[in-house]
This record gives sequence, C-alpha cells and structure tokens, in this order.
Amino acid sequence: MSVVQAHSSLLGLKERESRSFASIVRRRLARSYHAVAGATILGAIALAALFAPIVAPADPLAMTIEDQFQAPSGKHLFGTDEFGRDILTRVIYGARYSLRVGVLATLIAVGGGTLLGLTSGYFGGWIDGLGQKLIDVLLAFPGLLLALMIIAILGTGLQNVLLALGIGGIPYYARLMRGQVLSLKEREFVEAARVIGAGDTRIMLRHLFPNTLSPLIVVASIDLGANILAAAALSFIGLGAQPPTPEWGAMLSAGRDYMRDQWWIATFPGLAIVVTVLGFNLIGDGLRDALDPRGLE
Amino acid sequence: MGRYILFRLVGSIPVLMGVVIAVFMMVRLVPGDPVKILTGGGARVTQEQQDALRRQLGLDQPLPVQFVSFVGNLSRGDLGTSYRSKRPVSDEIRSRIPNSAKLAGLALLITIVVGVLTGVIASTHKGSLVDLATMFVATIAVSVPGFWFGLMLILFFSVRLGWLPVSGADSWKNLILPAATLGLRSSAVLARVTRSTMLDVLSQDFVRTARAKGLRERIVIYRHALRNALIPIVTLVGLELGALLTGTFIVETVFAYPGLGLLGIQALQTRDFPLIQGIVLVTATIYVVANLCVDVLYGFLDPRIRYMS
Repeated sequence: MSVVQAHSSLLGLKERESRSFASIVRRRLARSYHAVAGATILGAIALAALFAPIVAPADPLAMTIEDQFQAPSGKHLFGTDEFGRDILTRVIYGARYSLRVGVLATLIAVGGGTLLGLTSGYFGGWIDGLGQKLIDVLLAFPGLLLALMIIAILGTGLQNVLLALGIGGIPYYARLMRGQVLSLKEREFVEAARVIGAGDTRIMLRHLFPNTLSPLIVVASIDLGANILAAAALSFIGLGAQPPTPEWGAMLSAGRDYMRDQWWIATFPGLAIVVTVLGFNLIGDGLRDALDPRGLE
Repeated sequence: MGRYILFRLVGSIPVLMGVVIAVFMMVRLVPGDPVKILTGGGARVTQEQQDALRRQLGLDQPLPVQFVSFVGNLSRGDLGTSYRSKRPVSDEIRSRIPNSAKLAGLALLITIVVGVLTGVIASTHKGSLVDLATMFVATIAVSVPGFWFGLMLILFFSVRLGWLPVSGADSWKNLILPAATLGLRSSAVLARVTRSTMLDVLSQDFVRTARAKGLRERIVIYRHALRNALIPIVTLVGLELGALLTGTFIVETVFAYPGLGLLGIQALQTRDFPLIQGIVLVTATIYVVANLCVDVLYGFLDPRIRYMS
C-alpha cells in the first residue's frame, strides 16, 4: 500500500466514524444501481396501481366482443383478450392484487415469525424448546407445501392464498429471528437495559428487535417478490384469484389457450410479474449490500 | 462417522412424528363437517349414508382414538381411500412417484451442473463481461415465474419449432422442458451463491500457495477452491430441494405431466382429503430424508461438523 493510499484510507475511516449507521446506509443505497433501479421500477408500479382508475385507458372488466383478439396497436397498447378487454388496463389493475398479496402475506410472515422467534429466543428454556420443535416440524413442509396445506384447510381464493403464504412464511422468520436474538441477548446493552430496570417486553421490543432489523429487511424484500410469484402461480393453477379478476396469474391461465395465435395475451401479464419481482429482488440486493456490516468499521 | 449418522437419524424421528400429527390435524381443522365436505355438501346423500361414512372414517370417535387408528393404519402403509377415484391412496401415490422422481432428479442435476459451473466461471472472471452477463441473467431468472417460463418454452419449442411434446409423459423428451422450467430458478440462485462463495475462497492464502507452487489453474480452482466452497453450496442445494419438490406441483400442472404434484393439485381442487393427506405426508417425508442426507454429506465434507455433535 502506498503512502497516499494509506493516508486516504485513514481519512476514510475517520470520515465514516462521524456518520451514523443510518446515514451510511442511506448513502450506500443512493449509490447502489440495484437499489435505485428497483425503487424506480416499484415506484412506477405502485403509482400505477394506486391511480389505476385514472391511468388505465379502459374498464378492466368491460367486454367488447367486436374488439376481441386485437393485436397490440396504438388503440390497445398491449392488445385485447378473448372478450375484447384491454390488456394494458387489466395489467395495471392486476398490480393492485399482486402488490396487496405480496405486502400483506410478507407482513403476516414477518409479524408472526418475529413474535415467535423473539419470545422463543429471549426466554429460552421450555418455551424455546417447544417453539423450536414447532418450527422444526413446520419447516419439514418445504416451500409451498405448508401454504398448500393451509389452502386445503381454508379453501381456494386469493384471500386464502394470501393467508396461506403469510402463515407458511412464519417458521422461516421465526428461525431467523431466534438466531439473531440468541446472539444479541448476551450483549452488554441488553444487560445494561435490564440493570436500569427495563422489563422483558421493553427489552425485546426496544432493544433486541431494532438490532435484528438488517437481516429481516433484506429477507423480507426478497420474500415480497417470492410471495408475488407464488400467489400468481397459485392463481394460475386455479387455487387463487378466479376469472374475471384481472390478477396476473389468472390472466395467464385464461390466456394460455390462445397463446398459439394471440401471443400478447399470455406475454404481458407474465412480463408484469417479471418486472415487479425483479424490482423487489433488485431492492433486496441493494439493501443487502447497504446493510452489510462489513466495511463499516 | 457412524455415530454422527446415528445422531442425525435419531434427531429426525421427532420431526417425522410432528409431521404425522400436523397432517392428522390438517383435515380436522377444516371448518365444517368433514362428512359434508367429503360428500360434496351432503345434498344428494341421505342422513343414514352420512352416518355410515362418519363411522367408517372413525369420525364419531374421540380425537385421541382417531389418532391412534390413523397411526396404526399408517404403519401398515394404509393411507385411506381416495374419495374421487375410490382407489387406495397408497396405490395412487406409488404410481406417480417414478414420474416425479425423474423430473425432480433431472431438475436437480441441471441445477447443480448449471448453477455451480456458471457460478465458478463468473467468479474466476470477476468484473468481466462474462461475469456481468451471467449475473444479469441470473437476476432476471430469479424473478421469472416458473409457470410462465414453462408456457414460453412450450410456445417456442413445441408450438413454433415442433421439437418437443407439449405435455404428457410418454418419452424422455417429455422431461426436458419441465425439468428446464423447474431447474431455472434454483440454477440462478445457486450460481449467485457459488460465485460469491468462490470469490471469498479465491482470495484466501491457500489458493495463493497452490498457485505459487505451480499447480495448473484448473486444479487450483476445481480441486482446491471449489472443494472449500462446497459447504454453503450444499446448504443451498438442500434448501432448494424443498423448492424443487413443491415446484413440481406447479410445473407438472403446466405441462400436464402425470406426477405426484399434478395429482396433489387435482386433489386440492376437488378437496379429496385422503389423497391430499397422503401426498403431503409423502412429500414432507421425502424432504426430511433428503435433508438428513444433506446433513450426512456435511459430515463428509467437513470433519469439524462431525465432531461437534
């Protein structure tokens, strides 16, 4: 290392010391191509979903049989389907369903998993033993299997798919959370909190939970995309949203019969899923790099 | 090593017991009268027939008694009778397992070969166009819904080019598109993890030593570096096994491929609970056993893990 390099890296160290973790993360995120690209994509999709009635050129359910199977054109940018419905409109409205399922299912998983993992890891003893056995058993049902079991119990429909994906995700977060808490609860700041008289609930929520946020946020952002994928897949095979709901998976399922000659019917809803999930994955990548404690010291 | 395997084996017994309890409870948690659900609302079935079915299923017995007879039947390989086909669930499942095993096996092979190779190549060409291109493709591939990718493959290779069959399971050609669909996401995930693990390993001193003593680069990479990157790779393959197993449910439906997954989705759609129960039980058991194998593999790969337990 040259003198100049050594000097500047020393300076860099000093500069970093004066900044808080949050400001470093913000700076890193703003510089990350991944995070910026992901945020731009998702911002656009979220706005389109929010203002769908204003943005969309037509009514998502209105059928105009004479407009059936129109190829993409100036009038119908994404073409029309077998009922003459404007596909661009339906794709825009579809964002509402997908974002809602993705966000709510992930919230259920994070909330339930945090509660279970936090209490299990913090209290230890028989509570932890029992909690671990439960999580072990739930994790024995891989991937979508737990969600499929819950759909078997609750029945089909997008609402139940949302619940199933949310509950199905709980054991993963519980495990992640417990691991974090186990290593954190021996640290001095927890002891300090206890010495000044903080109760268990306060220690868990005010001291432990904020320190587990980094990995939680990274996993959750990737999971948002995964849940959107899973919900679309389940709708595609007929367990989720039903026609005529303009949900992307359901649209693909209806469009597959026509994809031989009308390629646009099955192409655009699929692209919408890819772009949305890509947005979440890019943000997840950006967050992981930004929240990486390596390079902070 | 023997002790380690035994230890792992014993450890998976409570999990399997939990799986059995969970599957048993699943059907009992369904809101409403199971007999009404089994008879499709119970409109066309008389009260006597309903009571007879209730007795036959043991649903008039207390829960613990039901559980004991459930486990008893299970130990004899009796998973009940499919409500739709009236055939034993165990026969239905047994006839589908070879198809799903072939599909999942080929997908796993694709995942490992494609994932590890592209990951290694990307890591040894860090920052190059090859690296950027493969990681870009991997990022997109992780975001592509499998069922849609499958449809696009059908559209291109079966409909446009006519090279491969659209659906069914008559020949090995039927396996190619579903296995590629199933393996796509896992390959991409594995490629990314292999790359980042290899980058960590390649910067370590023993790699420099191996190069310094004049070993060929291929030997350095594949024999020295890759071997030390195997633990995270094997961990991920173990995790992806679960995704592959349940991925068959979606992919088999897209390709109308007669495996366990398609049977499971059909059972879900018709609420054929004995069949759902059996398929869930078998899938979970396969997953637990597969994870056991991964654990044992750890012991081989890293002696430290063997001695710790």
